[in-house]
Parts: sequence; structure tokens; C-alpha cells
Amino acid sequence: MTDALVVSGLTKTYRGAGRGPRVVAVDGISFTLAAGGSLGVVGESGSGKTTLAQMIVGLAEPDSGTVVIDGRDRRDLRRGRRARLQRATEAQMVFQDPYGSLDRRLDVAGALADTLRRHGTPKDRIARDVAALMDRVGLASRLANSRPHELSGGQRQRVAIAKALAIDPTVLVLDEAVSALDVSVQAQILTLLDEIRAESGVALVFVSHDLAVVGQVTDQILVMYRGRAVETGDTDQVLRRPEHPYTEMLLSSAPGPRWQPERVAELRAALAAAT
Amino acid sequence: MTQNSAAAPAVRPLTGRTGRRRHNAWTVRLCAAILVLVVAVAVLAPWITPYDPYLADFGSLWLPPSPDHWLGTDQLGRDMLSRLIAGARQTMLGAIALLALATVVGVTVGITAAWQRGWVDAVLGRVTDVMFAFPGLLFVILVIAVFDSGTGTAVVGMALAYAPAIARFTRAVALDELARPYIASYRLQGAGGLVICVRYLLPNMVSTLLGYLVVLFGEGLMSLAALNFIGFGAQPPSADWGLMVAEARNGVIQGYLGPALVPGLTIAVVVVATNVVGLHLSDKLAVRK
Amino acid sequence: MKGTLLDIDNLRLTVETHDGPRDILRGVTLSVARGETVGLVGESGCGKSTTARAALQLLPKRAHTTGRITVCGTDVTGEDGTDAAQVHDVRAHRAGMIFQDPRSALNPVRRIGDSATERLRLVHGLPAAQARDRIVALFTEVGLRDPDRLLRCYPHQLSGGMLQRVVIAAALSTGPELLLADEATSALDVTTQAEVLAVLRRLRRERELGVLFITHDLLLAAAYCDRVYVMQDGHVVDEQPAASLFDDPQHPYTRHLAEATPRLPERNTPERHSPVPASTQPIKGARR
Repeated sequence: MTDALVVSGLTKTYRGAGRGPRVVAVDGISFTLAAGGSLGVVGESGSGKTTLAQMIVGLAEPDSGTVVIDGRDRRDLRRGRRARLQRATEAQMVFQDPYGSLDRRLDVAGALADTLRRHGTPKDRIARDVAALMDRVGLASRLANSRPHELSGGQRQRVAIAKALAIDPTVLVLDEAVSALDVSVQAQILTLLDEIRAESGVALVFVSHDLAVVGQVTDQILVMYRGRAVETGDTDQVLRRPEHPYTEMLLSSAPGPRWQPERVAELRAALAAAT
Repeated sequence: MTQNSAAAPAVRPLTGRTGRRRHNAWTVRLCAAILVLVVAVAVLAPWITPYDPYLADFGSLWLPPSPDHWLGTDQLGRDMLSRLIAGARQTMLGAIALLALATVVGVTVGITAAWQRGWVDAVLGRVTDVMFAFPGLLFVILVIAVFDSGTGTAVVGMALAYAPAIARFTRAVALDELARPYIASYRLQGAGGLVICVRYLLPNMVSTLLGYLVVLFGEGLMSLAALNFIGFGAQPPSADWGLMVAEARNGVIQGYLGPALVPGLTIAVVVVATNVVGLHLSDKLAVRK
Repeated sequence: MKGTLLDIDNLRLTVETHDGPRDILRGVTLSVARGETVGLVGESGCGKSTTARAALQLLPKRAHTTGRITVCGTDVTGEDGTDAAQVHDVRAHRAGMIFQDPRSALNPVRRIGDSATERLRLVHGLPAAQARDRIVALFTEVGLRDPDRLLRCYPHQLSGGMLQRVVIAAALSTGPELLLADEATSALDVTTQAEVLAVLRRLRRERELGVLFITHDLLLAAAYCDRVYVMQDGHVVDEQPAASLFDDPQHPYTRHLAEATPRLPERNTPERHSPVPASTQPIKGARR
């Protein structure tokens, strides 16, 4: 069986301010993810996790390195409609902002039908498939004619997930997809993602700043710090026994029982000394 | 902002709109009614003119308003009301053609620049800047000098003069819109650039563009009237409002104010009305967003 | 009650909207004592921020409140003859507020020094040099290095964590007894949040501040506060010592929130049974 997603040596730099040196956003990231697997990418703002996510789906071009999904290199230079649709079935993305990620002109059924039509679902099957998709992500059928502004944040993220599922991608990248939601809604969406992964075998790349959320939905974890993967491995193991001082600092920062925020400053000093 | 200024930002209202309304509801309604009336008159012009607007009657020059001629007659004895009505059609059609052409060019350039970015954006931006820096009327006179005077040339020239402003505005709105994740989501679905721009981006921008275009319509109407006034546009015996003012201006010295004043005032009223309605529309649509 | 800095009693708040009146708060009762950190937790729209704004009378005119709010011994609701000057005095001297977004609290075109000393200069009438000295001392206290250089910076030159420290320093500059922190660290990275809260905790102890700590994060409230109120839909539904919030939630809604909140596994404990699920493979080629 081929790996669903193979990322190797992915690097991206941005032009710095003025004539300064280029800023390295992502620096030589490599990992593989099997079909049905789930990888959490954690890091703080500026760690490069969002740039990594964008390169995986193709919203950003890497300077070097490759992204291979289902054995096909994403940097495929073929153009045209067929190539585009083919690439779409490889990777889809759910964005953080539930307000901006839906077209405000289209209602739920309209947005899903539009996606299905683009990917060649015959006319007579669209209504049925739209209903099936809505059911699958837990959207009540009475919401079919609701426009985005009439939906709650959680409902919007369900629509975004349904749109991605309509294409049945190999890899689904979620960029802070539950960060803007209240905890009870967040918990529902996380459960939904677990179900979808089990049913469809889609590989999840879950990008988040929230270690506890990543701990709940992923098997593998990749901790990013200043563009580099400082620690990788089994999620549970890393969260219980972090090895890198940065992971240690992140975990100590997360509030919980016997939380000592005072320690974080010491750990940051230790990290600065170590790197 | 004296106390709490360091710690407290301005208090945001819990509910209600934040947009400031520029005009009260009655002003807007009145202006909208004027526009509806002018458009209706323009559409019905051939059927509602009481006299032939082009028929000279040398026996009744410079007549004051009377039950026969509600607005009097002009220097050739033509009925002013009939000419005003016929002129509504001429003037509105000219302004609409101008705006339509300018919009097609401007919106196409603006969206292309915003979508392509890079060198396309840079080149289009530079061309737009040069056009923008050039006074519109001067540009049109240049066009007319090269080609020929006439309504067609005036409209096309004026449209080209207006296109850069529309292009700039469209580009800014499009850039804002393109940055939203839903556009990225269409790209990831495999939709092509043309499809995204025409089927999704453009309709989402219409509400923002509309208010701006209504304001521009008033401006365009005035510019076209000015062009006709100085004789570069419509030629006699056309009943265009701008031309009517020009033709009747000799009467002002002789004490016959009406024939120049009536079309002049009409232009002013229509321009103000479109401005009020346009600004109101853009305020309202911006708030809803 | 002696030592009570904030006392809110049966606060109700209704706002006139286009669709008629809407109840935002439906009977909120809570108190904060000197030296105490009190959490106010709830999901978005439950009224927790409105409660804090009401305490400092920072509400729009359309809001109608009933109930009593006493801040540092002054009734700010104006029912027993409080005048505007007294409310002003409370806001200027006795209570400070910190909001989620430090950028919106600081004027982007003015130097940090101007914004941070504004309250001291304008409200307290301190000479500029004295105000500056006091802010420099506070900057050092909140852990900002090189305070003299910072005073000359503009907000965009500073990170969110640094800005929030600046805002905290400015809020403390007038020596308040009560601090209202409305999602004050929610926009910050977790490590920065921990550092800022460590500073705030130290300052609270040193100055015996009462803190009303508003957050959506139940874990944070449990870890940081002494006592926690849980709000739902304009009501305070639960009040508990922070320590028992997760271990022994009393109200069904608190239990619901506690269960929905994802938690990290205990550190340095054995892993769960299947370390690597069959469907995944170890990650190759990553740097250590």
C-alpha cells in the first residue's frame, strides 16, 4: 500500500522586510502519513504550520521539497480542467474562519450541489447526494436553504467539511478548524472528524495551536518551532514524555492541574540556551 | 477618551448598526423618486412629448411659460417641455452607454490585475495611473481631435476616461474578496480562474460596486453634458440637455433665462439625486456586509 | 462586607434591538474580594463580557440595567444618589480593565509612552516626567526589558505579548484595587499566555488586587483562579472553588463544559495501550 501523503524536505522562504535576508517559514519538513492516519501539526504563531498546510494543499508553492499524494507529485505541471479536478481529489482543506470560508451567496444545498456538479455528479443524483452529505456531517435537512449568515459557527464548519467530503479527497487538511468554536461545538466537530476518518479512510492533517485538541484527534504529532520539526512521533507518547525542550515548554504552558505558569519563563530561557 | 483610555477601547455597541447614515430617509426617498421619474420619462419620451421637439416655429420665439407651452419655447420657438423630455432620453442613454462601457473595461482590468497579481498587475496599474493622472476632459478632447466630434466619440472617450477609476476601485475590492478563504476553497476544488472570477468573485462584489457606479453615473452624466455644452459631443438639433444649455445661452444676455436655466437645473437635480442614492446604497450595502 | 471589591447583585440587562427588547443578563450575582482571583466562564454570548462592562458602566445608552453593582464600595448604578463624578472616580482610580485585543486599546499612531502614561497625565494630573518614571518602573515589573526604548516604539513594532504587558502596566499605573480581565490572554500564544499570567499572578499577590478573570477556557479558569462562576445564557448557573471544577462539577452545565473540554494526558505516565494504531506508520526523516 502506498502512503497517502509523503512530504519530503519541504522548504519555503519569504522575502524579509526591506533588503533584509529572506525569512525561513518552513525549513526542511519531512513526514509520511498512511491512508486513514491522522497527523497533528502543532506550533505557535509564526512556527510555519499554516505555510506547511498551504503547501500540502497547493495554496503555496514550496521553494524546494516535494509533496506526494497517492504516489503523485503535487508539483505536476499539467494544466487544464482535468488536471485541476484530479488534484482536487488529492487534497482538500477546511479553514479556521467559519465566516469567510463559505460563499455568502450560496445556501447550504447550493454550495454542496455546486461542488458535486464540478466533480461530475450527474444531475439526477445531485439532490440525493446533497442530502446524504448533509446527513453525514450532521446538518439537519431544514438547513438546506440557509445561507452562511443564518448558520452558527459550528454549522458552517460542518458545511465546509461536507464540501470537502463531496470531493472525497485522499488527504484532508484542517487549519485551526475548531479554534474559533465554543468547546461543546468543538467537541462535536472533533467527534465528527473521527467518524469520517474511520468511515472513509481519509488521511487527516490537523493543524492547531491547541495541544489538547491535537491529542484528542491525532495518532501522530509533529511539533514545529521556527519552521522546523523539533519533535515527531506518536501523539500520546510525545504529550506524555516530551523530549525536546520546546515541546516541554509548550506542554508546561497549557493550563491544567498543578499549572505553574512561572516555569515557562525558565523553560524559555533553557530553550534559548539549547538552540 | 480621557479616562480609561489606556485600558479601554471605544465601547462598541452591543447591537445595532455602526454605519453612519449620511442622509435622512426622506431625502433618499425623494431622490430615488426623482430618478425613477427621469428614467420613466426617458423611456416613454416618444409618446409623451406634447409637441415635436425638433419643429422650429419662428412665430413663437422665447415664449414664457403658458398653458400651451408649460416651460415656454426656445430661440427657435421649439417647445421646451418636449425638448426636455426628448433630452432625458438622449442624456440618459448617453450616460448609460458611457457607464456600461467604462464598467466593462474597468471591471475587467481591475479583476484581471487583482487575480493575476505580479507583472500583469504592475503593468495594468501603471497604465491606470497614467490615465488617472490625465485630466478626463482633456483626454476626451484629444480623442475627439483625432477622430471626430459626435455623441459616439464623446461617449467612448469619456468611458475610457472613467475606466481607470473603476479599475482601481474594482481591484481594491477584488483583492479584499480574493483574500477570503472561500475563494481559496474554490481553487482547491479545481475551479478555473475564469470561472472563479466570473461566477463567484464578480457576483460577490456587485453589491459593493453598485453604489459606486450609481455615483459615477451622475458624474458621467455631468461630464457628458459639459462635453456637449462645449460642442464636442452631440450636435444640433439634438435635444441633449448640455447642448440645450449651450444653444440657449445667448438668450440669457437678452433676458430669456428659462431655456438655459431649465435644462441646467435638471442636470443639477439629477446629478445630486444620483449622488444621494449612490452614497446611500453604498452605505447600506457596506453595513450589511 | 469588608474586603469586597466588586459586588454585583441580581443584575439584569436588556438591550433595545430592531426586533424589540432582548435580555442579555437575567440576574447575575457575583462578588470579588480583595486578593482574590475569580473566574467568570461561559461560552460565547453568555453575557460574561457584558457583566464586566456593566461593572464599569461601559455600556451603550440603549442598555437598561436593573440590580445593584458596587465597585470598591461605590454603588455605580446610581440608585442611591451616586453622581457621575463618583463613577468617574471609580474608573479612574479604583478599577482597571484589560481587553482581549491590546492593539485596539492602544492608538496605532502614538508612541507606547504616550498611550501608557495618558491616564496618569490626564486623569491624575501627574507631570510628564513623573508619569514616565512610574511607567518605566511598571514596565520592569511586568517583565518588559529595555523600558526606555519601548516608550519610543509604536504598537506595530511590538508583539502581542509585549503589548498586553504594556496594557497591564498602564492599567496598574493608577493603582487600582480591582482588575477586570476580559479574555485578556486569549489572543496570545500559549507560552506567552503563561508568561503574562505568571506576571499578573505575582502582581496580584504583591498588590492584593482583586481580579475578575473572564475566559471561555474552563481549564485556564480552573488552573488560574481561586473561585469560578459559570455563566450560561445570561445567568450565573454555578459557583465553585476552582480546584473542584473538573473533579467534582456541581451543575449539569459545568459538567457538560468540563466533559467537552479536551485535556492533555497526565505527564510522565504510561501510554495508552496501542501506541501506534495499525493504520499509521512512524514518521520518517524528521529532525530531532
